[in-house]
Amino acid sequence: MLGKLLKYEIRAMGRIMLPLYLVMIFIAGLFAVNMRMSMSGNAKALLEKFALITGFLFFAAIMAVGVVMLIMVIQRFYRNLLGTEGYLMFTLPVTTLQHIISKALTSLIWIVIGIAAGAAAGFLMVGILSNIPEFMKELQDTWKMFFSTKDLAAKVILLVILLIIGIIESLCKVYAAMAVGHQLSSHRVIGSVGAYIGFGIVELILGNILSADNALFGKLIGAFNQAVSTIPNSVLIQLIIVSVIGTAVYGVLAWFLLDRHLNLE
Amino acid sequence: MSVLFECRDLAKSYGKVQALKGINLQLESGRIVGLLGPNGSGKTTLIKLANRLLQPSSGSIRIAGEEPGILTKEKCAYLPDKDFLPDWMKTSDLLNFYGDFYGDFDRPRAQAMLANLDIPEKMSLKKMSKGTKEKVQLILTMSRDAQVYLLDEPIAGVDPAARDYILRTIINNYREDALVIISTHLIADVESVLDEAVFLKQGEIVLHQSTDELREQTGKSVDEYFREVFRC
Amino acid sequence: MKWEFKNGVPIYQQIIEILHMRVVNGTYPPGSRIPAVRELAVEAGVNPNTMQRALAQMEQEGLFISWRTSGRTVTEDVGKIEELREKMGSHFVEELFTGLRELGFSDVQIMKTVKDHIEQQGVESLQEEL
Repeated sequence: MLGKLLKYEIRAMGRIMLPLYLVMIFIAGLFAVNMRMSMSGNAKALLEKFALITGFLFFAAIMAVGVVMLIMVIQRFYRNLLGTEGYLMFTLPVTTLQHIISKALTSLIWIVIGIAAGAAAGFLMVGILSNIPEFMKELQDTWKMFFSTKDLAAKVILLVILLIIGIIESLCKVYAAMAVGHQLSSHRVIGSVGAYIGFGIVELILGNILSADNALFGKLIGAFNQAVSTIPNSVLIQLIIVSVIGTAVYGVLAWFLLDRHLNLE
Repeated sequence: MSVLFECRDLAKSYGKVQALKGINLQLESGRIVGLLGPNGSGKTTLIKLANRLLQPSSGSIRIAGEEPGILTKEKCAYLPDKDFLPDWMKTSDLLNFYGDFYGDFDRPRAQAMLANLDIPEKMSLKKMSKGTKEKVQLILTMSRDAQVYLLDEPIAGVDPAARDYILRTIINNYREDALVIISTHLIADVESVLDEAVFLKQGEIVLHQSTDELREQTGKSVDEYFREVFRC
Repeated sequence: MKWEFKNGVPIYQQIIEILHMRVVNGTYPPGSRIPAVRELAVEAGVNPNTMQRALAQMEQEGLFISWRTSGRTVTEDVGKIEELREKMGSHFVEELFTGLRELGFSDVQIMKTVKDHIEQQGVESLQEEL
């Protein structure tokens, strides 16, 4: 059943996100072509002006992708589960947990695809603007450097894991906030925003309390003030654990409210 | 004849408001039952409890012997009184969706009914008129071979021709091993289709009787008697 | 499309009246097949159980015969159908008398009214009888 949910969820999100990603890559290409053309000879001034426009469009595209992704994440949860579509979804022979997982997993998938699309756009631009073989060699060298020592390799892997867990935790936090807002009989949107802010405040307070009498957390908070590459792997692991706990707390909260305290209009 | 729908002292409150006050009810297979009452009488609350869209405050409700959960959702076909299908989906998407999630979905039957009404399979819901959308919703629900059908106001806000179609579809789909519960406040249109009537007033069941018996005893139609009972 | 039902009388009884009418006036000729319960229920716009109950009573009255595998037929017993026709006919006559008496007509006046009606309608064969 989860597989079927995922199938529909991926499609529902994809029909908006995929075209957007393709447009972003296309504009990146356009911008790069424009830049390259304006670097040599004829009609330089005109091309430079175009380059400004396409450059602006490119940044606008990136912003748009970010904003739309955020809107989609919220909308899929809010409209499909808490709106009138909830009458369809919650009467399917599917558990509440499966619903939450399908939403979170799908959002994660499309975010990762988005990051890949961003990388593709970057490669495209580099490819158009410079020497591909040179660039590929530089890339290979960097890649080898990342994995030159076991420690570095572990760090890269840990960072990726932390990124993924961090995304999932943020998703669960948003879902939990919406689930809390849903408990109100009116002004549910404001309630959700308030809950989200409330969660942030609780996190800060907990962080302060824990770092005051626990050197471990002090290190964690300190870690945020350091450049990423200087954080020791052990701290990364602790950050991952904190994220996992956060995911669990927000996830359980969202699940509990949706499963036991659902109140569709 | 098995009991497919059973409430024991079922109660539900929202804060201080008691939507259902400890009701007891048993409904059997092979019947079409009307859940009749004005708005706010508790009909929708009862249906939501049956679908696990709400949890009881106390008491229990069982569908085919099970408390509401995944097993009962597989056996229940629910038609809400709202637009509950995703607007962006086409008819063919919805057929796939229902077929994927419900093992008892009879796709050929649904397609035949859609064809009967000239509803194209490649049209998205948002391009359809309200009446057509409602028919699609009804067709999807009634094309399931479920044990219990819960229809919440299936004919409200629909033109008379569509009403006839909907009632004919309900009669045509009748099965001896299934129970159909129609919740409505439009009794006159529906009463000839009902075996039994359940009157719900302010969260309590004030009547549960066969419709023909009711006509015989009171010398009135169910609609007329209803108006008497619920006179303001 | 749906049959007309009036209030206050159980629907299954009204269905039986309509079925009686159809048998007597030849809509369902003797020996002919009767549509299935479901089909009739849809035509009438009623619950199949209600229709079933009416059909069961028609069987009890001997007007319909149920065959194990092939549904129901109208009886071939023409005499029975005639009986029903007479019964229904005299019921109408009863109603005529009750209605006219309530209006204050005496029995002699009733006869005269009926005669006048027939003359006006120009039913020749009956005029001879008169």
